[in-house]
Amino acid sequence: MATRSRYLNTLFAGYALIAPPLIILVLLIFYPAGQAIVRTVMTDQEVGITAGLTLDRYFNFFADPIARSNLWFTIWVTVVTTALLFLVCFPLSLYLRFSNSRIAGIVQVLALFPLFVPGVILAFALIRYLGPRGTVDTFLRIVFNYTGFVTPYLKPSGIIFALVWDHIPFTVLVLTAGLRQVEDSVIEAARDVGASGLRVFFQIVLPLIQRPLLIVFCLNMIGIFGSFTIPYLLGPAAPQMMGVYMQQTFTDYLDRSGAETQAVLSFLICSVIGALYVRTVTRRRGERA
Amino acid sequence: MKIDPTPAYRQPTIFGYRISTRTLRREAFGIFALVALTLIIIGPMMTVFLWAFAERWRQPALLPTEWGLSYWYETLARNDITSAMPMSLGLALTVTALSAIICLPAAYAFARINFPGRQGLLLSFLAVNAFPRFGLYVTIAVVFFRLGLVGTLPGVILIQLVNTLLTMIWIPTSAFQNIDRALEEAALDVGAGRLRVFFQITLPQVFPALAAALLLTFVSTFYEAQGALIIGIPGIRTMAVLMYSYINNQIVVQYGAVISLMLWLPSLVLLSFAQKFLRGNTVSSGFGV
Amino acid sequence: MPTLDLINLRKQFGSVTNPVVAVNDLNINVADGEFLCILGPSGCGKSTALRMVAGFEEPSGGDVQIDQQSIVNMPPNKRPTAMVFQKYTLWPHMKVYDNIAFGLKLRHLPKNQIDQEVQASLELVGLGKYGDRYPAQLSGGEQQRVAIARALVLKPKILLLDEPFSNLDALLRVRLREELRQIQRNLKITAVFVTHDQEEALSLADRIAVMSKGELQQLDKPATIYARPKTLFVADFIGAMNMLDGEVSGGVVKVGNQRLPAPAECVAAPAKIAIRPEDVTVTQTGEGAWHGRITQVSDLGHYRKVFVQSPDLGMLKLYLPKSVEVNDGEMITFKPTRFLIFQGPLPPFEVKL
Repeated sequence: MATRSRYLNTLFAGYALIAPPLIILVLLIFYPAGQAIVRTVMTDQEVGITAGLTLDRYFNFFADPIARSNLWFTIWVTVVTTALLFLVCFPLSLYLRFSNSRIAGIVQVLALFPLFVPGVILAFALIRYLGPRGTVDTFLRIVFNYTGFVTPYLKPSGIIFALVWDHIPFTVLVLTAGLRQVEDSVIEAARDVGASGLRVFFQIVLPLIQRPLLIVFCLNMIGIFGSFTIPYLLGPAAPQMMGVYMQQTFTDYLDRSGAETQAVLSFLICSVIGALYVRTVTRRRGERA
Repeated sequence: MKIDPTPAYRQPTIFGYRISTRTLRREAFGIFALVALTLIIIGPMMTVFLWAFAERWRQPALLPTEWGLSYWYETLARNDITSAMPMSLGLALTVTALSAIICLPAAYAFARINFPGRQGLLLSFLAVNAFPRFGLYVTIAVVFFRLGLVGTLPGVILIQLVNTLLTMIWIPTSAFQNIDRALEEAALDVGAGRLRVFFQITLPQVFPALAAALLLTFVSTFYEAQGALIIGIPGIRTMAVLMYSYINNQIVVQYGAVISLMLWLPSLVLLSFAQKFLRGNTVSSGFGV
Repeated sequence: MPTLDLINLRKQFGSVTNPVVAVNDLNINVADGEFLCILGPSGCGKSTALRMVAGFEEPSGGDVQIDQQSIVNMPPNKRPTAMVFQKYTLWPHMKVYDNIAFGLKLRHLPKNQIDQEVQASLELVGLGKYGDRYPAQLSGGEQQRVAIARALVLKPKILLLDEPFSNLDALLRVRLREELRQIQRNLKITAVFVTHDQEEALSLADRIAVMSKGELQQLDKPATIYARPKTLFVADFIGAMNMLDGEVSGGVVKVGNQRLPAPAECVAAPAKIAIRPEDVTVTQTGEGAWHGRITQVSDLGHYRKVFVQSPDLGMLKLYLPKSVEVNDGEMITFKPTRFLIFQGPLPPFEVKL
């Protein structure tokens, strides 16, 4: 009996210790998200009338050409930025994985540097650097007498550039950590039986880092889709990314149910990727145990 | 068999170091990456730095036409800034402390106590990452609006707390899990009490990871602008939120530059610690990698 | 007729002004079908030498030739060598079949031929039914067998093995070693095997190359290496050896209080006398005999290992036949039947009594 009560005490202690963050999680994430989802499919409640199910709010959203173009724009920026991130970060991570030189040390610091630059400062800095009559423009004018510089400021390319900038450290960090798990001898064994560098990369390295790869892909997609600061400060007035659109709907137009619908639509679109992320992490931990 | 002592080829040397041709090609990429990252990442930061110390910068000129600190005095004397700076610091400290109090015991429980549903509950915190961030804020804001929390300090604290959950639970949990239990058992074996073992054996081992989690939480909260913007306005203005208006209204460039540098200061501190824990997988463990 | 030649092979790390020499002017020739072991303590450069043959390290000088053709400018994937690594290095995301077939697929062989060859090589290492498993489902010994099959299936000209059995437990190590030797004999493949385990080298190799600090110490048949070590390092490293200080003068060498005969070619100078523990006989008293007190006796089956504390030689280790009665604490008188005299870097003189 003594051991049983001791076991129950331990269980109780366990649940008591994890309760506070769990309550916050439920109250601040699951409850608002859940009730937003429910409310977007309910008819407006009036006195004496029971609420019914309706998809009106979504029809309204898709009937609005501005809303539609904002949604497509967001998806487009997300896909392009994620693709660019891999193009930039894969060579960097491979280099950092295989080089121990002093140059690699500096490259690593540079690549991780944006981790310590908040979005607002980044936006401000990029406006001064790449904006009209910014540093790059001035440099080209003075040194090369070149006046054709086209600023990405207030253009989609500005958003994409800044989002890539912002997500480089996380991508490099995760990819490099994943690549470090692949031992030298595993790669050498493949070289030894005759595989070329490219083939080693695609047939040995890529499958072995599948999980970190998927995680970084998912988090980048969701992060970029849900970004606000950078598109808000650097992006064009139209089309807008969903974050900016939601903020405007909520704060400027005071249309809370409209903002809610937009938020739930973002959830839906990202849910596939979110599920993939959770599944990837779960599978990994399951295997570990 | 003929013994021909002629070397097959000569290894190239650089700065007196023998470099294999493979290394040479790799480091050529390293240098390219170094230059590119310097232009892309350090360039914008340098521009901000120059602006902060520019008394006057008449275009077109590569460098400020007149240097000085007068904008620092001017910026620091502004009412909005003198109230936002303590607000930002206090808020970041409060949120970090609250998060630690709520999450660290939970992390210990997740790592050490084997209660039913442990894996699933731990994974539920991934939800923070699985939703597009700004959509989540909008749904929270709708709830807060009804509760009258918009524009209040508790509202901002709560929304920033959401951001910290995953970092504050996952990094310490994996640190507690990675402890070599034999070390604790050895201490118990020589007669140390449970508390002494916790403080003298367990805590020192997880300290680097805990420090990393606390620092990351503090800096990310200090920089958090989106949640504070949508919930805090108009009552609560942090430094990061202030930057939005400074950028959008384009008052005086130097104001923004000075605020940027001030905001960036905590990062400099973090950066000096960063090299240590970024090399390992501490940070990525906070994302489920 | 695959032969392998390392010619003045050299590898140094670090800067030109302050180089760390890992391999220093190494000359080794491996004959067709020969099983050569490179033996040495860790850090002696043996693995670096092997990795230069495989192409994972670029030599700083010298040449590696297979069939008199230089291969140093070939990338590892183009070299006709196949390597078995210390860690099993099976690709964890591929089944055993795919691990072995990987190299064959790169060579665009037809599917049924790949099937046949994979199956044949699995049979060769005694794992005929394991093709469908993942590496994680195999034991360490099985994984290393698959790694050997993966190397052999490509019919390499030279098989390279870098301490392949050092992660296995003792019994398994001996069994795999014997299997490997059998396979190598049957296939008549030229093999280079790197190890720090002298027993492994002595039992496997046709010839052994002993290395120390990047230099080749001796390249000979196992029996010769044991009986006639060329350097003090080899004498000390291979097998058990009693090293005694001596002084040569006029055809005799004085060791302790005794004079032993020395060849006339010996220089009158201090020398190191090396005596194998089994190269002694117990005598009653007599010329050229030492005495000492027995401090420890261990029965090792067919012979006894005896430690003797001698007043003027220090501690000695002797292997004595069981016919000789020895007991702890007793005095014993013994003399060498065979010993080597080392003087400077010259090869030693052998003396048989």
